[in-house]
Amino acid sequence: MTEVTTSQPGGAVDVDDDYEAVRVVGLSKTFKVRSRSSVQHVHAVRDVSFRVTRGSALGIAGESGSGKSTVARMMVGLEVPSDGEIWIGGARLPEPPSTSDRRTHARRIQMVFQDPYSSLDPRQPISAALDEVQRVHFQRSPRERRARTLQLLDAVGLGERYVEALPRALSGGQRQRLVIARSLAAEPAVLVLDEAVSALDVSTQAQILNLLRDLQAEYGLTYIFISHDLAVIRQICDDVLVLYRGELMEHAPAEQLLTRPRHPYTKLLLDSVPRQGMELEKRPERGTLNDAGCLFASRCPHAHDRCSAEPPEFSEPSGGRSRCWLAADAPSTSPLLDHRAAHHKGGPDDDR
Amino acid sequence: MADSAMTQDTRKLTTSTVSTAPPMLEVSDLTTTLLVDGQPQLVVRGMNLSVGAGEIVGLVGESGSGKSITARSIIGLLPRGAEVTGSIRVAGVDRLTMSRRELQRLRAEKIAMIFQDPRAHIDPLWRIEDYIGEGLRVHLGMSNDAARARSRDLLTSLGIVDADRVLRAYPGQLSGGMLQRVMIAGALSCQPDLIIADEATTALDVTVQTDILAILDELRRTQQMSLLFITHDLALASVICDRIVVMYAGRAMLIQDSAGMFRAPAHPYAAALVAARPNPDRRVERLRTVAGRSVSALEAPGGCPFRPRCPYAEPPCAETDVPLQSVGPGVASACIRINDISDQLVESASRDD
Repeated sequence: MTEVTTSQPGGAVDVDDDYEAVRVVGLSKTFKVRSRSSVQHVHAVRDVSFRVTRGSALGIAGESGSGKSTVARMMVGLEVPSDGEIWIGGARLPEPPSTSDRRTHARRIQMVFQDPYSSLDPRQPISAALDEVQRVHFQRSPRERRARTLQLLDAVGLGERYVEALPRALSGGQRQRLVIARSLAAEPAVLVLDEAVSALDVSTQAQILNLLRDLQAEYGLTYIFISHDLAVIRQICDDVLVLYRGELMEHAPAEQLLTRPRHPYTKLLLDSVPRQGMELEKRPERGTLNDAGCLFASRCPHAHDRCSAEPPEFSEPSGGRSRCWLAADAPSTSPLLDHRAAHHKGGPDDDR
Repeated sequence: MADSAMTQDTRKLTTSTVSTAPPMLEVSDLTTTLLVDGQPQLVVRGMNLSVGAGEIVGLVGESGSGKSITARSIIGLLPRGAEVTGSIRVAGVDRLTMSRRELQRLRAEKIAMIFQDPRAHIDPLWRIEDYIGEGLRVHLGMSNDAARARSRDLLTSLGIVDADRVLRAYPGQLSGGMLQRVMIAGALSCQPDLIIADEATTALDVTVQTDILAILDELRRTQQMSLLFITHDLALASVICDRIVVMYAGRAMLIQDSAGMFRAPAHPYAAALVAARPNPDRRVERLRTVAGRSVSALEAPGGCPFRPRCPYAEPPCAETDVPLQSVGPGVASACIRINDISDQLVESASRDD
């Protein structure tokens, strides 16, 4: 198979930042919500910054309403940021983007959604779906496009016999393979995967996760992997970023964040991953939401007075950052430090 | 006869071991056919399961396995043209011979169901208090005030802080997680003996999911409520279920206690499900996969339906339909090779890669 190139599209790569695939600076998104009497501003994303090294995978985790999908949609240009900058492959996405800006951007970064069926035109055969992307982005003869279509199908493990099939002839896993192939047809450097394996059966999910790893190793792709499932994130991601109500809570290498979380919210997410033999305890009810201090304070078992009064700053002890007064005040004695020990022994939380 | 002895044994196995009274739910040899484009299509084929009082039984399977249709057959919510044979007994009473009226009564008083998508099951034009309170007013004869107070208590017990606001809201004003709690509150309102939860926590955040599992577990302990917990996620089922029934191609492949299924799965399909699930504590070089995809009862080949995907399959697996057979205390498996391969399955389940 000839190589599917992931050459830097659109040029404009800063030589110094060659290793950097994604840079997001101070990204915010505010939605206006009109009720009968007033207009409210809802901060879907607030002041989020991060960088992603070329060829690595960043996981974005958080509950619904955490803003993780909004970050993804802004990155690919489906949503216009209220504030902040998005740089992909050394080029900044202009605001508002023109049609040609969008086209150039689409060659740098592509998105794969959760539900493959609704991302596909039910009347468009597979060959046409892959052909269309190539016609938009490349000057290729029909024969070149056809050859490329076959390469792409092979790369995602779909045989040649599916070339003229319609999406409904494919199983869920095969459809997701097709959607991945289509996103790769634009030869992007960055792939945003928004809950891309969440709707699949367990056995199929494992196949797609292995495929994503193979594609990354072969083409040096950079992934932004959005998922509510930390077990899946563990298998794909080098670094993880945890969002809560639109704000970044913790950002660290995956191994560290998933075994020694510094932020109580990360620990809550980890403790909620279903496992055989886990203890079910009824947690205290969520208090009223607080916007003055730490956004997580009302649900945090470790919260003290300062937490609901003053927003915590990032502390950055060895590798990673965490926005929590607890971690800032006593980084070395944080009771969260060894997640796994806490998990098996019942945890230091029990004596609260 | 060896044959009838085996059936006897199987029946004992699929029946709860917790109490001597008839189980809350007993399904035997259930076969359900749906009408698809005017053609009868086999969806559930010879399904067996039982749920005792205060017991939580998991029904686990991938898409197309027939788990939801099994649930809908039990509660009598099938599309027109569907045909059900076999036996479904609720607290000892035959469900399939019930009149329409008796069935309505059963659904009002004994069984409640929680679905995955609350928006499809809650009338968008009803206020939440009307939805939750309906059963309380109609079946328990409560006044509006009493129904509202009880509804508020239910919502509070499900972790909703501003229950009063939620009661006055319309479904469109609530998030999916909130609406799922509302549907659970509605299901709990008339204190049913049996709840059938079909992917009830699948669309929820993991934190909310754990909260809901804790609530269901408490209801079982305090009120002896029985629960049939349907999910595609074996790990999730293992958290709350006493026993798990693994379904494939419209039939039960394995009935085993939760801990045992993870330690020593007594069927290759269950072993494959255990192995394919990513581990949150460890990054592995390569996730173990199952070749191919899951098939429905209609697509399944003769003999063992898992055979084409099974690494342990041998020619005899194609020859006969294998019924559930007792392979140990409380364990029934539909694998004819289980005695030969059980050591390998234990090894596969404990492997770290």
